[in-house]
Amino acid sequence: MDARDIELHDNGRHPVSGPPLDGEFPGGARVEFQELTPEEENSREMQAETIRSGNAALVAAARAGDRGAFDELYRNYARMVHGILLARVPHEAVEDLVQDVFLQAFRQLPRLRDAEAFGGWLAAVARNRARDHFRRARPSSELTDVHTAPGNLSAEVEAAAALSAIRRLPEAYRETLILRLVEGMSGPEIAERTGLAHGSVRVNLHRGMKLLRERLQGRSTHAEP
Amino acid sequence: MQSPETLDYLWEAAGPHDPEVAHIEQLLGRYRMSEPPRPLPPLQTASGWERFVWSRTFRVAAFAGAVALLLLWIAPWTIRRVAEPGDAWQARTLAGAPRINGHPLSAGGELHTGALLETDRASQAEVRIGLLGRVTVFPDSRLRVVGMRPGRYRMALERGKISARTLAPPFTFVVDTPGPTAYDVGCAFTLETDESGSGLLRVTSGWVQLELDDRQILIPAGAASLLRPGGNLGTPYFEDASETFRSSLARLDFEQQEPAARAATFAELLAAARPRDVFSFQEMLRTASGVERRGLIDRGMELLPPPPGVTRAGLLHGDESMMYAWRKQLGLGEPKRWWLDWRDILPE
Repeated sequence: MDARDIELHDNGRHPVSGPPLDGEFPGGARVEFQELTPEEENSREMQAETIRSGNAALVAAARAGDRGAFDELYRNYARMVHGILLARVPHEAVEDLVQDVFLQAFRQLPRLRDAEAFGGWLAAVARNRARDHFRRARPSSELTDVHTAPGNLSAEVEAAAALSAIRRLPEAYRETLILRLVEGMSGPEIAERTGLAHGSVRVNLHRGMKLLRERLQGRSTHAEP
Repeated sequence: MQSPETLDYLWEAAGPHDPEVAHIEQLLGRYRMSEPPRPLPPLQTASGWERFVWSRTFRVAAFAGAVALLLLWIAPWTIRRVAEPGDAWQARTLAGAPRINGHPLSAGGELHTGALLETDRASQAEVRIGLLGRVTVFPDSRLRVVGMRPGRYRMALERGKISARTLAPPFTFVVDTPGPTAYDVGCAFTLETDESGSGLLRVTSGWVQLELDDRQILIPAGAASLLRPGGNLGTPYFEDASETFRSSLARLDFEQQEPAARAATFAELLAAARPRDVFSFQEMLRTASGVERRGLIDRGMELLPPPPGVTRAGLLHGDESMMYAWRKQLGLGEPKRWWLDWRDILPE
């Protein structure tokens, strides 16, 4: 199956942009995705459905004031929120902002109409909180560009360079890559948590990774997709 | 060259590693959220009010309210645009052969500014002022169109009788007579007069304001006022008052009686009054003085006790706020809020 055969799903909340997915990554590798068997597809769909309905029950309980249910939602979604914030604000500010986001979410839960859309809604709350952060404070130096060749850097500087490079990617790629590479979430997990379609996450991951590789290897064309 | 299996590592986060992806993961791991996450501080639940504000019921109600406000806001403009008559009023014959500027009206016709509509003893006509008003012109009448600029429609009843019903904001319709001028305050009324200014105003709905020089009288539904030559305005009275009360009032208003005879008439008036007739007393108090003023107040307070805070002394001195509070005891409503008391708003 070729990458171009992937159906580019999107739920309308997170646009997929950029050039057609290339068939090759640097080094000549062809992009080929392992096709799941119908049984595997069904199994994953059932898992996702179970998680969604479980979260919906937690959301309903939290709405009714169940602190324990909200704590569980916090444990389930904290990494997603952390990643979304890290894609936008300095690392030092992220942990506090994660707490802010959940406190705000708890107060605003009555506004959420569809309990199953909790993940996408929470992601939007986190993005808004990140925007507010920049309205209140100037970004720290952490967000400045790092343009040194990766091979000459210490691990810490190299990490900062990688993070900076990701942050300069288009928003859809940036968030997805941070959730994958920093928070360690798998593609299906990202899709389930953020409410994005699997196809969108898969495309964002691979396009984003391709761009990131180019930029880290100094081969960026500076043409944003 | 990378194998398909290693490429899928990016999606699965498991299985055979892509060395480059794994290297970046390892580098960026320092930014990963600490596990377990920091405990949340005490949560403050949304208040009952916040919950209500975001409830479906509230949002639906708020939307409906906004739509209603919008409709209310545009309603006067829309009504006026639809209902206003333009540059002509429509006239039609109800009986006989009415004439416009001396020409037969036949089935129907238009009245422009300055036009004169006349009916003889056997004729009757109807004038429609857009959708805002309808005037019936009774036999032996002369009605002239004085002006028709938007929002102010003025006519002059030179002689005869008209019956008017309006559906417009107060003071939209004005009828001049040889005596006073009548302003509608959202109402239905009948007005008759002769060339000398003698006549009668009867209000059947809402209020009418009669004005002559610096005198203004507001007349509520169910009440009437006599008009007399020389600009004499009669004290308004409720038409269901006793005959004795009405005739006494007319004599006091228009006859020059000897003091003893006037005192007797005044005593008759007081004796024949009901609580509702205190309305007439209050109108008389605008000009009454001396013994008549005291008599009106004492008998009025007896028939219609004023609310707490209103004193005889205050009324005697013409205290406006006390007079207003006492007038409210009549329960006639407020002319400025005429629509609240408009019980016959629908056409007959």
